[in-house]
Amino acid sequence: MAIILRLDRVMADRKMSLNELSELVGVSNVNLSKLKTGKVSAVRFSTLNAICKALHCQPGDILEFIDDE
Amino acid sequence: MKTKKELTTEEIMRMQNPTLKFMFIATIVIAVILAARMVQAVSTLNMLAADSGLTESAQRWFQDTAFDLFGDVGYIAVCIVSSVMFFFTLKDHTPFTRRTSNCLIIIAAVMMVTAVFSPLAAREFSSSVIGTNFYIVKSGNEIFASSLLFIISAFFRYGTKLQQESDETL
Repeated sequence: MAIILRLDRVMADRKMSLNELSELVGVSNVNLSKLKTGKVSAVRFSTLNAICKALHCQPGDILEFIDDE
Repeated sequence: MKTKKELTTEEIMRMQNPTLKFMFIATIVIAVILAARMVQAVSTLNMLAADSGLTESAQRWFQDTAFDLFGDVGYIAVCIVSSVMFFFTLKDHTPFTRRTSNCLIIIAAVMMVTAVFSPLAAREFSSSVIGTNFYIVKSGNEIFASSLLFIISAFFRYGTKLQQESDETL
């Protein structure tokens, strides 16, 4: 997949654990872990909105495009 | 009070559970009734075969009963596959699985084979036992139903893909 989620990097910058983020976003630890490791095929705008709100960042800070061709 | 739009998949499935449980039990009961009917059909065939001078209506009755007997074998298989399908739908909490669409294809195929071959088998059986030479064909509804099931199985295959996409979306 060309789109990579840099959630772990932003979380490390904000010194926020997975548990804290899951409480703030309202998504379970397991699902956030899947999101971190890129094991999901799509992200809802509402989830992205909640993550950006919790981490005080822009969607571009979390998402990164890498041309894999 | 929640409107229908706000219901989650789990809530909808919880609402459907009593219907699925009823259908699961009903298919097993129907399979048992069909098995009992098969036993009765065998005894009727034995009784008719023992009589040497059968009238044409008795010969038709013989072939009709043979048709029912061969048909019931297929419909018992359909009931068993249906009960498996209802059981796993209850267990998986969603009807949109690969298993459901496969079960529907099996049911449709068994129905089609039963509808096509039971009149032929009944004719051959009657011909060899009492020497009849006519066909009794009344499989139109079954062929229509199995065609419909093939189409529905395609819907379920598409539903399975949508379910997978929904499950993988956060």
